[in-house]
Amino acid sequence: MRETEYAYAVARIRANELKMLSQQDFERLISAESYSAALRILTDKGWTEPSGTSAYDICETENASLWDFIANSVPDKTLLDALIVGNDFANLKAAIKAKFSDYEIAQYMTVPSICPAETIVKAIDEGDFSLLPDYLASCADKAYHAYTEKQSGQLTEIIIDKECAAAKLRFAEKSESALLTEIHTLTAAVSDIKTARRCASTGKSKQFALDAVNGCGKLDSAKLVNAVYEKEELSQFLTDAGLEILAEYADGDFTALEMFCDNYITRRSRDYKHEVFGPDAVVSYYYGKLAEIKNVRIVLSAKASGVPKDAIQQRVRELYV
Amino acid sequence: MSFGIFFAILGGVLAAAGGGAGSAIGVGRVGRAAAGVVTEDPSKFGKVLILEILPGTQGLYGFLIAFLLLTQIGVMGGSPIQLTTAQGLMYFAACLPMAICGFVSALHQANAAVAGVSIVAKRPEESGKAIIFAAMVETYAVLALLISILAMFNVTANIGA
Repeated sequence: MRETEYAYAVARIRANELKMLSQQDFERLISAESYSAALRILTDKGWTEPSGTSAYDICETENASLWDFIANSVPDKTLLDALIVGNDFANLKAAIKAKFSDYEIAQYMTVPSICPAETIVKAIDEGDFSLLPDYLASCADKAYHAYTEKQSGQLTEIIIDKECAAAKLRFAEKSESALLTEIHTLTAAVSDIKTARRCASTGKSKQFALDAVNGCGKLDSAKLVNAVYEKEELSQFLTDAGLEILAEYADGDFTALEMFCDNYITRRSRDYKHEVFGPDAVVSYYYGKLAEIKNVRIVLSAKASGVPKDAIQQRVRELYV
Repeated sequence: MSFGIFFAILGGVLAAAGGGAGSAIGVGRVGRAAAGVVTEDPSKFGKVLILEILPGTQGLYGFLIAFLLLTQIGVMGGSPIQLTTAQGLMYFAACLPMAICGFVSALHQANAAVAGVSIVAKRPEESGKAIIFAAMVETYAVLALLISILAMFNVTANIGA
């Protein structure tokens, strides 16, 4: 699709960026006396008043509004699919687990998704994977049989996570958004680092770790696993692999790595703030808004459990605006 | 009808079509962006409308060149003058600056205007600057118009039409 077709979407986005929460708004939010005072600040800024009482409600409503806005502005369905394809795999995971347990599946389904959640549930219930779209069918088949024949929830998750990472990259490349491809490449690499280190720390075999990593993040899976298991210099390996941005955090705790990853995505999104055409401007706003919602969730959850101001400030991510 | 008159008319057609097509694409492009802003804030309609109009001028310039040419060679009056192939090609060449520059400048002016729409969306008080950025591109369309007019009148003077 021609980049100029995005003129309408990008202009709407630029107008909407004015409504995003600023640094000062977050300062006020963090300094709010109570959880309800924080909620009041948000509703004053145009966030929809939650029907329930949890941080989940107001953030989910904002998430739904964000998707509604993006879906009604973007001219290219391939970009929309690329933004949400991960949710289909999350729903697949939930549907397989729900079939063999007694929990109510509806509350675990993620929206929006390309393939309706009901279709995924029906396909798993009936064992008829032809009901699913191609990108999901073979993964569902493999994951379902791993769960039923090997009774391995872990293996099921590994299969789905690997396919999910590959599908996200494939969809991103198809959407022609360089930013989205970069984001998915980075998150796939971060996911691999975490998986390999988790496998090593829990005493899993090298082969298990090799099977578990997705290998989509431009990291050589064998070399990564080797570096982690042989306690080689992981940061040096990442630098050699062209991911020097992750080197500093590779050996540290996962929270710092995840925070860096979130902040890096926001920083890269900011680089596209002045684009007037093309899918990257949409992707940058989408991720910027997701970061904002994530921050609000962090602040509200912290407020609800009485976490002190300084601790909240350490947890919040960088802002897009 | 001679090849001379054919080439002259072809030049006028290209000037009108180049400028017109560029303007149509450009105005459409800015219109999409303007609609995006107005969807969120209808009060900015006036400001974005000015930006949308800007890439439309090339179409008018192209039309002007075509009209002048058709008048010069007598087609408008119903009695076309006799032109040799060389004279027809001279009129054709005179129209090219407007045809080419009209098309290209309209598209680039539209891009500048779309960026200006983003300025209006975020900083409406700076809309004047947004208009200036887009209007700068107009300079080259005006220069092309002048060259086409000067060349056409000189061709007419030289052939004694």
